[in-house]
Amino acid sequence: MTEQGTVLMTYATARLSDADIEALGSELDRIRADVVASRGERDASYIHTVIKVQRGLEVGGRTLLLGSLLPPLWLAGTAMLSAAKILENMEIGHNVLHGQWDWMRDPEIHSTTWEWDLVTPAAAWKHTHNDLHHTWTNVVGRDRDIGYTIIRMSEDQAWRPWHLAQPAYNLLLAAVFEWGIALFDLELDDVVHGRKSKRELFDQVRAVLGKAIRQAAKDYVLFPLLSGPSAVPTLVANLTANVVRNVWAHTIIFCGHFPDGVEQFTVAEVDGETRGGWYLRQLLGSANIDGSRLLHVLSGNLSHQIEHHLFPDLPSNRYAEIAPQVRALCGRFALPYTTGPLYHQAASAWKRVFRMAFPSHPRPSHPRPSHPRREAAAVAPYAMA
Amino acid sequence: MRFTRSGRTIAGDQATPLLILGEDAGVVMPSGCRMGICFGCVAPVRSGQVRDLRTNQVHGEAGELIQTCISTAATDVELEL
Ligand code: FES
Repeated sequence: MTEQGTVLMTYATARLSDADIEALGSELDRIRADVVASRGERDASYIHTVIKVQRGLEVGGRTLLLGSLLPPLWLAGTAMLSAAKILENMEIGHNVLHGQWDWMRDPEIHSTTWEWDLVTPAAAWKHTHNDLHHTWTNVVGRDRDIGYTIIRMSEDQAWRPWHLAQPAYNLLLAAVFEWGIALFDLELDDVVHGRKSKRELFDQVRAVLGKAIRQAAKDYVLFPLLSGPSAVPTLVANLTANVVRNVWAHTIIFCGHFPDGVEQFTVAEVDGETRGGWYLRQLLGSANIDGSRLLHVLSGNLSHQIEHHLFPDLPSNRYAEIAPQVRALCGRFALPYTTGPLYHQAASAWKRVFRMAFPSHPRPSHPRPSHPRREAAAVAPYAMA
Repeated sequence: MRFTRSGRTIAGDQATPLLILGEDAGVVMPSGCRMGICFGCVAPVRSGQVRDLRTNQVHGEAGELIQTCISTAATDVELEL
């Protein structure tokens, strides 16, 4: 975060009184309730269409690759398969696993049954992502997504000499992102620190190995063999599609919480925060990407990261629609709404990777208004006992 | 309020989330964020209706998966847990 950024954010947050924060919370609750009340046919047909397009791209791409000895077929097939994988993971898988479509009560498109075209098993990911990352967004020490335990992304994370190499290994991570996430979801650091049992780890390792073997068998054995004389080009195509998807997902995800202007928090700062406070942290801790409709779909609507973090379980097609309301609220409460074009946000996130490779002082702590409902809220914001 | 798998029946109030009622009664309740965002606490309803604490919407059909952390009982409820 730039010096100027720090001053601006601190100012923005400190200006809000408890009453303001709760008022902001009720406004956001209202936006959510409006969407929930109007969910219906239009939304269902959106996700059905996306799934149909995704299947078409995948079947088409894999079919073309049967003749991938011919370079034009290889190129078209690889492009279609890459697009299919991106759609499957981002606009479909990520959002289905968030429960965004559970309200349709379709067992095929449901957070409890969906398994995605990605090495990490859906169940493991739902824990580290839906629960840990979305609850503890940008809280250093609690949100493990701040650098995935290997990349230093905050002044508040201790600097170690190996961080000097992080621009290089972050680049490598981008290429093998799905494998990195699978490893990350095992939470090995939790096992080391005794927060997770070896037994639990063992079960998870078994699940991830099973999934990894299935994924590799499909992309690197079965489909290449089906291609007969085009086996090798098909294998290269599948590998390429996986890498394209990895790099794209990594880029979009890094734009979500790491560009300049996004605020990070300490555990003390969020101690006992209320629901309004949680909303405020999601707002200040996320960044959007400006772009075309196509970019929004291909990013799984994570280009509306702010709206997604405020309402992780609303259907992704609604984020663009509520964005103007959220932005207007930010204006009303004099809060920043961080957004920019893809190249700008990605460059800004990468700048942080480079900056944090070098030692730096912890940032000054933000003054926060006190929250009277602390203790109760810390246990369960909805407990009314 | 009845938890069919663990065979426990309790008298709960209509303001406390089912997650907390279950935990207090010693039922092993799946959970995560405890604030309605992660879907780590979903459980199937066998009978009865629940209220969504965020929207006040009352819902519940046999077999419906509900988030116990933001649901309270609107009627007698049986959960398959
Ligand atoms: S515990 Fe996360 S949604 Fe209920």
